Amino acid sequence: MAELATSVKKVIKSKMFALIMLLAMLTTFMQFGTDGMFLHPINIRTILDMMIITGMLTIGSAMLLISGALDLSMGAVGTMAGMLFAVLLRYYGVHWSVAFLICLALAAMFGVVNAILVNFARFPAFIATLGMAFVAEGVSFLFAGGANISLSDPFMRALATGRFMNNTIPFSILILLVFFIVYGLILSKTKFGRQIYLVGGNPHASRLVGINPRKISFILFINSSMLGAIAGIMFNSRVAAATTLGITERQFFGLIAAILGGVSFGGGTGGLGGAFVGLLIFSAFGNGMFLLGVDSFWNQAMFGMLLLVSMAFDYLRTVGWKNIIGRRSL
Amino acid sequence: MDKSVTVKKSDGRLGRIVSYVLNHKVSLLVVITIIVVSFFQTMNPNFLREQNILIMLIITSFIGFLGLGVGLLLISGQIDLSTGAVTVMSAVLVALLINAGIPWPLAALITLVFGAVAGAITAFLVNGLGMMSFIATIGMMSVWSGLALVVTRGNPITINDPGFWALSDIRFFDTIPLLFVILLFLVVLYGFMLSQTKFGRSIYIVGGNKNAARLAGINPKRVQNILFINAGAISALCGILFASNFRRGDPVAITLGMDAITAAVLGGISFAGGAGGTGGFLVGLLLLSFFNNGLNISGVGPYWQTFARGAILIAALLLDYLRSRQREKVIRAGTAEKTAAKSK
Repeated sequence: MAELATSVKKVIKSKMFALIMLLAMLTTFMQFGTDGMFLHPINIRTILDMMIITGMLTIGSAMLLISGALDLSMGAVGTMAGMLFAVLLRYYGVHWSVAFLICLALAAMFGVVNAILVNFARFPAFIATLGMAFVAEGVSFLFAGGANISLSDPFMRALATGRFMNNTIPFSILILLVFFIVYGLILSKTKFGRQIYLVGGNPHASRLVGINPRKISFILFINSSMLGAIAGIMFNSRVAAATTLGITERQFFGLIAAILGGVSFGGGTGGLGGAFVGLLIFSAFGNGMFLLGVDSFWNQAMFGMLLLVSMAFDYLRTVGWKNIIGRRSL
Repeated sequence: MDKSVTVKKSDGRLGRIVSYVLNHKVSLLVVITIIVVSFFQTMNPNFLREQNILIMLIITSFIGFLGLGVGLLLISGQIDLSTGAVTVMSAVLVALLINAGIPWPLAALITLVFGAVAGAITAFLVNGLGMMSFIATIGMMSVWSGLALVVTRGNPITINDPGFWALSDIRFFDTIPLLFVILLFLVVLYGFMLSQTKFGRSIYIVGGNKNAARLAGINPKRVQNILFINAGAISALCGILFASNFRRGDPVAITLGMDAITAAVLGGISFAGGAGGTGGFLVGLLLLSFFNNGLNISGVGPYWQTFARGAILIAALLLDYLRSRQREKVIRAGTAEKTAAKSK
């Protein structure tokens, strides 16, 4: 009996429990606030439909954050890859699979450059990737001369917008789940995954036990660029057009979702389970705001505040409430 | 520039070239600027026309104000990416206040206070809640530019106050706008403060070595807080002059903030903190504006300009990296000599 009590206590104190409680509270609030519209199957489907794009960015951001770095160019690289994808399909008649691989390769190149700038030129990750975001934006302009291109590949469109089981569950959410599970297993079960935590927690110690932090950093930067590219291509396939804005401004969504989900900015903590719940919270919040009829001009300010609030919670979690109160009294 | 750390002559031709470049960075920047100017002048004879110079000086001033705020922060080891957004919000705020019937000097004062408060909020997030400054200021950036959109509903607010317009219409010698004179004044003022006052020197110590600063009795957080507030207030000043120049408060985000950082790093203010000065900054700023304007009037498309913006930022950082690595080498060599002398 005592054992049960301690394990219950443990569950209640865990991060995941707090996150799920937060999600439950948010859902209840939205459900009553919108007169039951929020949990209507059609609305849930809407939320799930768009989740893959933020979700891909969340995975890439979370992996990099755990290793102690971050990538602000994912969105711009995604936009660029999506643009190239559309150009290849429309003007060159390339098969979608070939175009997809070419786009991934281009994105991987951006990842390599990011990694070189961070690991060899020792730029702070955020400014190197911010610079590369400008470059990617410029390149995506170049591909189509700033024009919007319509994109109507039947297969990709089916993949991005198709649903099965009586038109309820989108394909894309299954793809996202598979990605989350695979990456989650890599992080928690494989040697490589554990090395990522070690590099993020203490780069010096990781070097002493024979891990090459640069190699891990290269893999993760390439990975995040490629995930950005997938997100960009999925987005363009979904809206059936490639625009120069693309998913660039969604860059921070993935970051916010990951931090909300308990992936710490300092590196070395958090996991993809939490990140997934963070993603759910983020998507529910955005959708709920829309349903509540909040002016769309508020969006940008809201997301900024959400980022700051999630950072503040991250700080409180690492430092601990007790320590803050204790420090005050000192 | 900081002559105190002269880079040691290293062996090998490449090393020698690199150390030469780094030792004469400001003079080299001047040479590059002259080359850039003569290049664009031959490309397009309108480049050095009075009208174009006027436009260039105005834009330079706006970037310069933000650059001074963010440059001091960089020296102290922090960064503020929200300056551009604070500028936009201030421009909107001053326009709203003037349209509400408040006389423009009072409206400008209130806006300056707003800027200082915005800086104080950032300072609290960074030094009170321990957030990394770049991510906290990215958050603040979307908060301010978002709020600017909210209060204006996306439409620019026209200002009908000739007295307020006149602020940016004053010209010296028919070409030099008051804005640029204010900028020059501030550059001199901040330059004096950085190099001659106790507070100015403490900024360098805080940016160079936080622990050493604490041991020397300086409160690093206090210094950085003051600089955050300064950056907010100077961004608000930029916003007021921006509104005065364009005769409206425009809520559409501008990219001045990023240009300001590029200009600062280009002018030798180290990204790692603890090095650089306003003299180099002014040269870097002029170089950047000549370059941007030159691309613009040579008919280079906006795509290439976005591309060039990123490329210049990365080039400036690369130069900064080489410089700080050389400095590290000198410091390491110095400590090695000392230990060798001790062991003897």
